[in-house]
Parts: sequence; structure tokens; C-alpha cells
Amino acid sequence: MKIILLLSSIFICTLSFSQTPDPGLPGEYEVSSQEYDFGDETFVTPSFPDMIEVIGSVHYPSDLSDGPFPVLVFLHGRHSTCYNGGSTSIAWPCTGSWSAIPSYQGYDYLAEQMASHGYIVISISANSISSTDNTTPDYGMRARGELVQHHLNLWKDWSTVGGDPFGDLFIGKLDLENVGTMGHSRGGEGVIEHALYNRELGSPFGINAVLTLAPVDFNRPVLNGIPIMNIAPYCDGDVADLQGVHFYDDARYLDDDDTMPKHNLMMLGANHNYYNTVWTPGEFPAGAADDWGYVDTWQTDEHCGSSAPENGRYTPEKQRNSLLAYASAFFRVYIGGENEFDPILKVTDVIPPASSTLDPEDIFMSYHPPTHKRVDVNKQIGEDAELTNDLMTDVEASGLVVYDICGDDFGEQYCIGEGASQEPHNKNGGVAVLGLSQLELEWNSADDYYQNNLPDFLTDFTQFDQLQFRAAVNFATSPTDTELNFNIVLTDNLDETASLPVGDYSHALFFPPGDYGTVLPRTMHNTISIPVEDFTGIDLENIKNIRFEFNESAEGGILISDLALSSNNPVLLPPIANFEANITTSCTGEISFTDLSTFNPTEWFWDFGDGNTSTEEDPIHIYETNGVFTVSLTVTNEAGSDEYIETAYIEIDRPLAPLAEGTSVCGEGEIILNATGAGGTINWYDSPGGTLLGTGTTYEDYITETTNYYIQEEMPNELMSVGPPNRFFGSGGYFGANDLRGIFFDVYSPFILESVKVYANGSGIRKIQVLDGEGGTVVHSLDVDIPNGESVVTLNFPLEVHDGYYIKITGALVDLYRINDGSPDYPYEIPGIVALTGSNADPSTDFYYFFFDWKIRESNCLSPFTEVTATATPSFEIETSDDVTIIAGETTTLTATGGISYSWTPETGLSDPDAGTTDANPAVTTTYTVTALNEEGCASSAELTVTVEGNLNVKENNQVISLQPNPTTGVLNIQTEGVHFPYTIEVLNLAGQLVYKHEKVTETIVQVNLDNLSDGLYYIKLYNSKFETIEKLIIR
Amino acid sequence: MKKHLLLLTLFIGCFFASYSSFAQSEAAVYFNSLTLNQDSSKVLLSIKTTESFIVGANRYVLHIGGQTFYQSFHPKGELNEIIFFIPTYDFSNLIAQSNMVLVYGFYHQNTLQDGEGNSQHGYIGKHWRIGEFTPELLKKN
Repeated sequence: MKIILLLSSIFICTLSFSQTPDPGLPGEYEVSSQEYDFGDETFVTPSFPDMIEVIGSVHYPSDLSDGPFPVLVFLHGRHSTCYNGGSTSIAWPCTGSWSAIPSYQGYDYLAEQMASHGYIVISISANSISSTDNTTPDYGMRARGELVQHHLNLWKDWSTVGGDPFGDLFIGKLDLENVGTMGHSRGGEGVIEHALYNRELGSPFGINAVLTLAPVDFNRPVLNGIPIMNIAPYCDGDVADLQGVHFYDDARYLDDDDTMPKHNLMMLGANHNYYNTVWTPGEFPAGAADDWGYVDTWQTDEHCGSSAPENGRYTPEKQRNSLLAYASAFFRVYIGGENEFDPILKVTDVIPPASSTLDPEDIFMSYHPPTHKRVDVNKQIGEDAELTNDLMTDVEASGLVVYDICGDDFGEQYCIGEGASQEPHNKNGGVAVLGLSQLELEWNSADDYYQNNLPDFLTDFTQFDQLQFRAAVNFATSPTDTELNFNIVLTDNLDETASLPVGDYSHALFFPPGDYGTVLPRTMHNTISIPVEDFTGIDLENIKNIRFEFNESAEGGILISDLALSSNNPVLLPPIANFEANITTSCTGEISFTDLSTFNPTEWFWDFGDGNTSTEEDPIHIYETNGVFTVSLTVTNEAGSDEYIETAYIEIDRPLAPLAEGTSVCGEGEIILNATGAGGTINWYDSPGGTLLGTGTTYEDYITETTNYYIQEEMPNELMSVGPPNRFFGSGGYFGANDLRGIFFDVYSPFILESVKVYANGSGIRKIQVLDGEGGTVVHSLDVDIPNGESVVTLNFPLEVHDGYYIKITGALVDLYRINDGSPDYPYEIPGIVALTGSNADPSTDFYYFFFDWKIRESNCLSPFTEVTATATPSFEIETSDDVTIIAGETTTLTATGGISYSWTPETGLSDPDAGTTDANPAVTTTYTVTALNEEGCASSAELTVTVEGNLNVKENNQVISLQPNPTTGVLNIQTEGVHFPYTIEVLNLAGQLVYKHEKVTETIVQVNLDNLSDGLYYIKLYNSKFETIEKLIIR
Repeated sequence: MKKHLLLLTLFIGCFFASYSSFAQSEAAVYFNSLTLNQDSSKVLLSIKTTESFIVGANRYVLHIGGQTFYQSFHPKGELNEIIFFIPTYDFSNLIAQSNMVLVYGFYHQNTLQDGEGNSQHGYIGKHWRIGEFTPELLKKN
């Protein structure tokens, strides 16, 4: 500790005082405050079992005339809810002699300060949620988010139409497009949940800054796109693993378009409770505690124990002062736009504001610049980062005792091996989610170094303001209580160097203080930021590498992350094209491509090598032809473009397309289609990749129009093995504890897990499950009767692409063989398809559980589609002449058109029954059917009737009938002799249609007027039961 | 002298006032009962303390052997008792005579109490060993 103090003195002398204005001083507004209370059981939401109180307070400038003012909302965390004298309870509502504990009032000091700077600050009560949240799966987080939103909705009303209890006081005074939130403890995760909930609702409120204060992170939500700051009190005895740092860690690289910064602030002497005056002993009559005592009952730890001599704890007042200064800075920058406080947040000024009453060794900030203001040199994510950085250039290390990426997989989820409380970044919660991937370095010689080389496009450092990274001293490998130091060296293209000691710029390489059980000391990465302009004597426009030279401290160990160059202004660099495919060999033809280009391309042009292209960012392409294909991606942004080519990258080997002939049908009807394949399954679709209509070599359908079918042959893929082939590669035994252990695996390309081999110590039914993570959702579950001894268990589990599947035995009976001697050699993998990454035991790589010799089969091979057409020839109708009436013995002409050949039936009386036009003189009335064929061979039929009536001039004996005149112009005189009366006169046209009729004629001479008939030939018929005669009549 | 005695008394008083609001000693926390809830879907495992359970941000987690249970409540809000929900299916699969340990906070390492080379680490976080799991103690309604 003395060494730390000495070094601190040197440090303080180097950086004597802050150049940044103090954000923690009171503002100029006089402040008023009011309470509002709509009852203890008022707000109801389906996400929570109990009714929730709507109670809060508001602090605001007494003079509201400068409004509208930005808004801050504070949400407290879980605490006792009721008190009676010195006793407390967690009941709600408080009844009888019990009174509510006003946790929401514990931040009045901060609310008053922010109101004095022109903010309207609302603090809300959430005691009801605290009372019952442990019964809900999400610990009431959704309800907390909904409660914040409910209060904001109330304030929207009060700021627009007013109403009780504030009347019109706040109309037009709240700027709800500019809202900051702060959540303490469980309220921290609550405000993250609220920001996500508000976004789900379409962002009715403008949430522009979120501060999480000593938060829990039970559900691991991630918030991007809004500035966040997490405050981690080093001496937190409640959230003792400081899990809130994951709000920072998890969000860093999740969204390439995230233009919002992230901050993490570690307060080295703060505890959990003292930020809230109601939770602070001496400030409230009940329920208050120094939470460090939760883990260190007698407060004896040398740093965090308040009973220890010369401990490092803040007093309650100092802790509140620190929050005043840094919360003010955060909100005043991101809500108030007062950028003069930027240096405090961006670690370019590491001297605490005077109002915080802190010393430089008391507090440490991390700053993750937004995407467009930084270039990531080395994120230190994944083992590859040991050799290649994010600029795709080489990384070198020389002489280091330890040089290892850790925390990036379950086999190495803790870097120091001390667990959650001592490695907060690697806290593994109730779900299997990894923490921070980071680089562990240990040195013992001044010649040791770590170096990132730079590509040609990133040699000009004059476009950057800071070189920055996060670091923490590895307390397990460093000299105890010794602050470390090393040099950052830039080398230009003439091999000139500029070297700056980290210790001149940051105190972050302190030895983490305290020594308490499994809690202290603990690591937390803090940002070290060095101005680029301080590297003098070299050509900053031609830098070729960044080197960490460990020639200051003789030995030491550190953990680092997030090596980057940052700028105060947007950095615009031409994109560096890069991509990957999910698989590079395929018998289905379907390949998913993912753009991995850096520097924010805005346009993409893919050439898949088979004549097809795409402008999507992450296209899925289906290769129709077999072969080996070169793929290129050209990416473009405002600064330029770049092309990346993978030569002979994709190999396609699909089955040949099946063969089939189309068919046709006239009009509509049933069709039968046949296909020929190579022995696989032939699937019939309505479109390529569309709806499956049927399976098999024959397909039948009824069509009403021409229809295309698409057939594809599906062939079983190769059966592959992964995992140890049997149990005999190591030693172990039968494991009987139920539902505890299993294997993690990643699926890179879909496959079916057909079977596994197991060794049972006795027969019985076991339940095998695959989950999407340990403690996650069950994806497959199967009860299997496993015999004693070795057996192969058939599973047939289809598995989609996913990282972190977990396979286990659940239920009472396990008793299967596992290896536990460290022999397993993870990962067991088939590149591009699957990797068995470890077990959930710790250390995970020492054990192999139950499931040997996995048999997997990738998705079936798929041929290209063959199109098959069933043609429905359009139906046609033939046209014929009209039905006709003739007098027996006459001949008429029948015609049919529309076809190319004709056939008349019956043929009786026809001159040419196979012609379109034929003479007809049937002796009796006849209906002819004419059938025609068109060019497609389709037939169409029609009927035509020839009616034959009587005979011309058939009269009785001695009958004389005279028609005068004939031809006539219209008037016709009919004179008869020897006919029986009465008779009927009918005049018919040539079509046999009746055009005139005169009945009951009894005169021998009768005049008929046919003026209305058009000129032409007619028949005139005189008849009764005794006679019938028909004469031709011409009208002119 | 009187002044010193007064200060000493104040110090001791303040000291205990600060730490008397939560359970701090192992003996003060003990298993109470096993009962079925009304619809028999859950077993309710009751743990009591002679002091007071912590009401804070973190969560009490109950470990029985390698199994972990999270959902709990304090009956009537009283802090001398905490009851965990154990689904009956899980209850039937618990191994008799497993250690029952109550932990303030969830720590992955605490799930490794199975003889797989990890149990020697014991439990981390504030915790109380409350005896062996005895399913026969379940009271039938």
C-alpha cells in the first residue's frame, strides 16, 4: 500500500490538477420539489403478479420559464420495503404500524443537483416489485421497465394537458424527447430493460443516456445505440461480482452501426448502498447497512473493511460526492450537450473533479468510443488475436512468460482461475454466456514485448487523437502491492521510435487492493489513453507498428483488451473487404455469405463466380451448377472501395438434376408426370424451393391450366463421425449424479445428430436432451431405453446453426461412463460443421461426458431443379351453320369452321362427311354431330339439326290452289278449289321459321298481306287435317 | 473517563446497529420444513433464521447437491423465513442426503459440487450450510 501511495504521489505530481471544468458543482437554478402518490396498488401489468405503487418525487427548477427542460428518471433497487421502529420487512403494501421505506428519496441529493442545472428529475418508487420479484423468472425486470414507462406516460400528460396533482404547472416544461435514466442495484438492469422496452414500443420517449449504478445483470440484456455508463463500486458486498460491467463489455462490438459511446467507472472505495441515503446507516432509521459486511462480516479486509486501519473505503459523503460529479458529467454531456466535460468521460483527463473529493487513485474510467470514431487495432477476441489483429496484420510477442487469449471459451472462461467475484468481466451467470475475451501477458525481462503491426492503409496516425486500450494488473502473477509500468512505443517507416511510459498517463496499472477470501483482490479493466500527439520525434504519418515494451517494471502480469485508435471526430477510412461463407463445400448448392469488411461499407457487390451477383450485405446464394468457384466481394463507402477475392473458394457437388418429360391436356384434366433420378428421393414443388407437392417418381394432378412443376432429387449426405470414438482414450468411471453434466457444442452448418455411443452401468430409460445453452430452452428431448454396457443410441435430432448447444442426460437415472482424467482434447470438430467445445464441469476440458462417437449427417444433397410442364391446351369451339328446315327432297348446305379437320355423324344424307362444308338432304329430320380437331389435336364438337318437313305441292285430288301474283310485292291472293275448310295458311322463311300465320280460312279466295316481309324466297303452306300443300313464294 | 465510556458505548451501539439487520452467522440459518403447495405442483422448502435475511440486489440461491433453485419469497414479507419453490419433478430427482447450501448470489462455481474435482473449492459467496436433503420430511397435505 505504501508503494501505491508513493507512486500515486509521483503520478499526481505529473498530472497535477484537472483541466476540465467541474461538473459536480451546483447549478444556478433554485430548486423546488414535490411528491406524487396515486396509491400503493395502482399499476397492473401482466408481467408481474402483484399490483404496483405509483409513487414518486420530482425536483425541478423553481423558475420553469426557461423550459422545456430535459428529464431524468431515477429507479431504485431492491431493498426492504416497510419498517416499524428498527424492524424491516419485504411486505407490500405496508400495513398497521408499518410504514413504507422511501428508497426513491435516497437520491434526492443528486436530483437536487441536476435540477439546479436545469433538469426535471423524477425518482420513482418500486417497493412492490422488490417485494415479489424473486418469485418471477426475470426478477421483475420487465415490470421495472414498464413502471418507468408508466411514469413517463403520466408525465407526458402533465406536460401536455396537465392534471392532478400538478395542475398546469408542468405544461410545456418537460422535453420528453431528451430523457436520461439512472437505475441503482436491480434498478440498473431495470433501466436497461426500460430502454429496450421503450424501443420495442417505437421509442415514444427519447432515451438518450442510461446510467447503471452498481447494477445486477441477471438476464444479460444488451443495450446498444444509447450512451451508457456503468458504475462499479469495488467494495460492493451485495452485487459482489460487479456483474454490471457486462452492460459495457457485451455491447462493445455487438452492433457495427452503434454510434454511441460506452463508459464504465470503477470507484475503488465505494460500496453498494451508500449511493442511496435511505440505505445508508445513520441516514434512515431502519434497513440501512454497509453492504460490504455481507461478505466480510467484521469489516476486516485491508481495503474494503471499514474496521481495517488505513482502509480504502469512501465515507458515505465521499461516495455521494463521487456520484454527483460523475453522474453529472455523464448526463450533462449526453443529455445536456455540455461537451466541455468530455475529457472526464473519455479518459483524456484522469484527474477527478474537485467536487468528487476523490484522488486519481480512487477512481477509473473505461471509454469505448462509438464505431465511427475509432479503429480497432486488436479487440483481443479469440485465439486468432494472438497472431493476427483486427487490421489483418501480424501480431508479434517476444520473450513473454505468458501470452494467451483467455476468457473466450468455456474451457478458459476465467483468465486467472479465481472465479466470478475476483474476475467480474468473466462472471458467468445463470445462463452459459461467456464474459470478456482478453489477452493475458506476463513478463520477466526488459526485452519482452507485444507488438501489433499495421497495414499500409493505417499508417497515418495524425487522423487520430488517442491510442487507447483497457488493462488490469493480474494479481495472481504480479508482485503484490506493486504498481506496474511499461512503455508504449510507436515505430515509423524509418525505424525511428517514440516511447511513452503508461504510468505518465494513467494510474490504471495499480495492484488491485484487498485480500478477502474469494472476493478480493479482483480485476477490472480500465482504459489507458495516450494522446497520439505526445509521440514526438517520429513521422506520425508513417507508423508501422505499436509495441508494448515491458522494460519499466522488472516483472509483472497484465490483462488487456480493446486496443484501438480513437478520434474526437468521425474517422473515415476506405473499407477493407473481407467475407466468409458458412461452408465452402456443398452438395446442396446453398451457401450463406457474411460480410466481414471493416470501416463501415455502405455498398456491397458480390460475384459468386457462377455468373450470378448480389448487392446484399449478407447474401444467401444457391449454386445451380457443379464446380469450383472463385468469389469476390467489392465494398464501398464514401472514402473508397476495396475488393477481396477468394480463389477457388466454393466447391459445389450436387446430384444431377432429375429427368422428366412434360405432358399436355386439352382444356383441363388429369395429368400424370414421370421423373427419373439417380436413386434418391424426387420431390415435386410448385416453384424452386416452394411448396412441396409430392414425393416420388410419379406425380398425378388435375390441371385447369398449363402448370409448371419443379422436381429436385434429394440424396442422403455422407455419414460423419465426431467426438471420441469410444471411452478408451482416457480413464474415468460411471457418473450417477442427475442432470448435472453435459457437453457444449457449436453447430456451424445444419445436420442431423443420428446417434451417439454410450456406456451404461445398468439398463434403464434415460432422457437425453439438447438445449440451446446450459439452463436454456430444450430443443430436443428423447426418452431412450439404454441397455447395460455399450450401445448406440439413435437420436435423429435435426440441429440448426447455433453456438453453445448443450447435450445432457436429465432425470433421475444417469449412470453413464465419462472421462475425468484430463485426457479429452477439445475441441472435437469437423471444420465448418460442428465443434464439441467442452463440458460444463470446471475446468471444462478435463472431462468428457457420456456421448461418444457422434454420427452426424449434414442436410441431404439436393440436385438443381428440373422444370416440368403440364400443358393445358386452351379449349376451342367450332362454329356451325344454323339449324335448318328443308322440304323433303331439298338439299341444304351444312358448314363447320374453327378446326383443321372435321367429321360429321351420322353420315346419312351428307355429301362429304369429312369436310367442313357438306351438302345435306336427309329424308327425315336429322341431328348431325360435327367433331373438329385443332392444330394441337384437341377435339371440339357441335350439333346441327336439319328439320325435314312435308313435300312440295302435295295436294289432295281435285284440289286447285292458285297464288296470284307470285312473285308478289306483298299482297298475295290465294284461290282454292276443292279443299276442305277451314284450313291454315303459314309462311315460313328458308330457315323454317314461321313468319306469317292465318288460321281458320273458310273462303275460296283470300288476300294475304306480306308487306312486312323482306324480299326473298319463302314457303307458303296451306293445311288442315285433310290436306297439306307447300308452295314456293317469292317476295320482291 | 465517563466521556470515554460514553463514546465506547456509542461506538458499540452504532457497530451493532449497522450489522444486526442481516443474518451473519451460520448457526443462525437453518432448514425449517418441506411442504407441497396447494396444487401439488411445487414443493416449498422453508429456511429460517434467528436474525434476518438480507434484502438487497442479489438473490438467494439454494443448492441441493448439484441442483440450483432461484425462485423464493418471504412469507408475509417477514425476513426470518425464506421459502424456495422446487418443482415436484425436480424434487423427485434430487438425491437424498445431498448437501443443502443457501448462498447469497449465484456463482457458477457453486454448481460444481459433484465430486468432479471441484468440490474441494467449497462454496463461494456468503453462504450457509443447512444440512442434508431429506425428502422423507415432505409433509403431505
